[in-house]
Amino acid sequence: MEKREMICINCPLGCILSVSRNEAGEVTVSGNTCPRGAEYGRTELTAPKRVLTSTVRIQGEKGRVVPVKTANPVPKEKIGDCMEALKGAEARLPVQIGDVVLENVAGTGIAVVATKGVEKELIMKELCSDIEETEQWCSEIMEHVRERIAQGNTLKGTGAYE
Amino acid sequence: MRQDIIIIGGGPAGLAAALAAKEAGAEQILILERDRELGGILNQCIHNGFGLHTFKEELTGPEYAARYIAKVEQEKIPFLLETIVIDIAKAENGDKAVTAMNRERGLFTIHTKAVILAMGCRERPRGALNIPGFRPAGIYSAGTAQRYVNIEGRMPGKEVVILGSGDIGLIMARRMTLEGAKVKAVAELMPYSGGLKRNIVQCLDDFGIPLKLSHTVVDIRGKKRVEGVTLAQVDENKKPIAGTEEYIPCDTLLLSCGLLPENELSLNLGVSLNPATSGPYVNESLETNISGVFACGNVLHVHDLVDYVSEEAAAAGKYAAAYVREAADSQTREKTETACAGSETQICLEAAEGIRYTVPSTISPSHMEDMQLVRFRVADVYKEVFLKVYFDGKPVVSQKKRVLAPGEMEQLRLKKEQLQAFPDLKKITIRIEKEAG
Repeated sequence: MEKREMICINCPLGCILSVSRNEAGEVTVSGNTCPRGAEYGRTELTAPKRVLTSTVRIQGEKGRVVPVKTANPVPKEKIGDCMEALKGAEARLPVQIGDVVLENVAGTGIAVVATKGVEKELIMKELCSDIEETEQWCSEIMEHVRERIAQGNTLKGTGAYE
Repeated sequence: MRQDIIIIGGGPAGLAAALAAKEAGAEQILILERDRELGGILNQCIHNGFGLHTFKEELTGPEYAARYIAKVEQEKIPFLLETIVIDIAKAENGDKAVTAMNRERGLFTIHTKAVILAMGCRERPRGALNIPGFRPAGIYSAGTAQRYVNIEGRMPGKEVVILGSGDIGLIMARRMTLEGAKVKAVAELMPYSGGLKRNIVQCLDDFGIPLKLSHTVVDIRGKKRVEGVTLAQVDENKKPIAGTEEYIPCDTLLLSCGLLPENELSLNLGVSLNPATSGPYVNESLETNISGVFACGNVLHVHDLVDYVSEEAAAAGKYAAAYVREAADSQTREKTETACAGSETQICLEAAEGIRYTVPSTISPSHMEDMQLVRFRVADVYKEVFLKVYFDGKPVVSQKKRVLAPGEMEQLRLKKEQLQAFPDLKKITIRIEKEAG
């Protein structure tokens, strides 16, 4: 008989679970207030998993990142390998929420997906508003941004207020 | 153009308030946001765990924000970005004059019938912590470090000590570890963590990061860059105990020592603030002592879950829309100046033993809905206690609580019929007691 007290991490309630496994290998969970808690207790005792969240670089956009997550929980012991795999990954603009950034991360069979949409223009504008980054190519992009602003696409809010 | 409702801040509170106001029939709504995008602090909170109450699924911060932003865009609610509000003043006919500026328009003033304060909060800085030592590079608030790592894609350091075990500090302990830094310790002045239990498990325990309770930083070494910090244990009066000092070499110190509601605009307008929350005193409609000025989210009181922020903000949006509709009636209402001013039409809520504050501070039975949600935080960690509610000294509610902790917001539901059973009710007292009786 194996018994462990653990705190459920499924939601911020943090229920205190009592998880036990008998000789036949059956796992029982108590202290949970929802079915997700029972499921958490069971997998945490047998094969703990976590959803991994991180960021990946954006191709061709110096110093910019897009947030990502594993589409499903990955085995806890694979988290280090997953982070290593994400170091080399790059997202391509434009990125939409849910876009797959990396398939089968670290051999887990689970995809890494973007958790935020990123548009090309906004990124350029951010980059160019940073004076330290003002290089030749940046001023070319600024020209492009100015044109867009002249066309009424200000990227600074919705026109509906006007 | 005159607006019906101006919402100051486009974070989770502002977005939910705008949507609810629109749904309740308000026409001219404008959100003013100082950042370059909507979503507020959620944009840098890339970890998951948001939205379980609201959407019944586990989302990351940017995903949670995106759901609300999409709805705001769908409803065509106007917003201005990179626009900072510098003043809110009373104008003629009960209107408010909101003065803001941005690069395109310069300085401009917009008149509005109602204002919803949704400015959120900021972190307590080093200057407010009285830590001795030099002022080298390498000391960041946890939220600043979070922005560097998650948005700017830069690492603030390699060997890290974190002071304070608030949620952002815990989340950053994990984030820095995942990105290859060595987090040597999280020190917490109090004998308990200020963060959520789940974050202790998944951010510290998962990575073997020690949490040192009743510890603080007593010295920071290094002149140009942090070289190390000295931790010491503290006694029950939070004074360092001589002989317990421990020097930890590190290049970075993150501070996660609490959040302060950002109420400079509110103060200038004459909004009365509750010293317990540093947020406005509000009535059951989340309206401050100034007619037509409502508050919600972290500017009102610091929340633990964004789901509760959205819920509260939606209520503020609805009440603001009702105010716009019934402006004449609302303006003559008695206002909530303090926690407990004697009044004919309002019942005051008293936060007694073990309760730090309540939101709201007053309830007008004539304006309350069938069920009134009262949010509060407790002052200490309590185990196996009873949450008691008294109506003018008579016990009405007794709830058994296994654990109550200051890091987690609690709530209580009061039914209108309960209050109606006490026609001359003046005061509702909420307290923690050890005995059931």
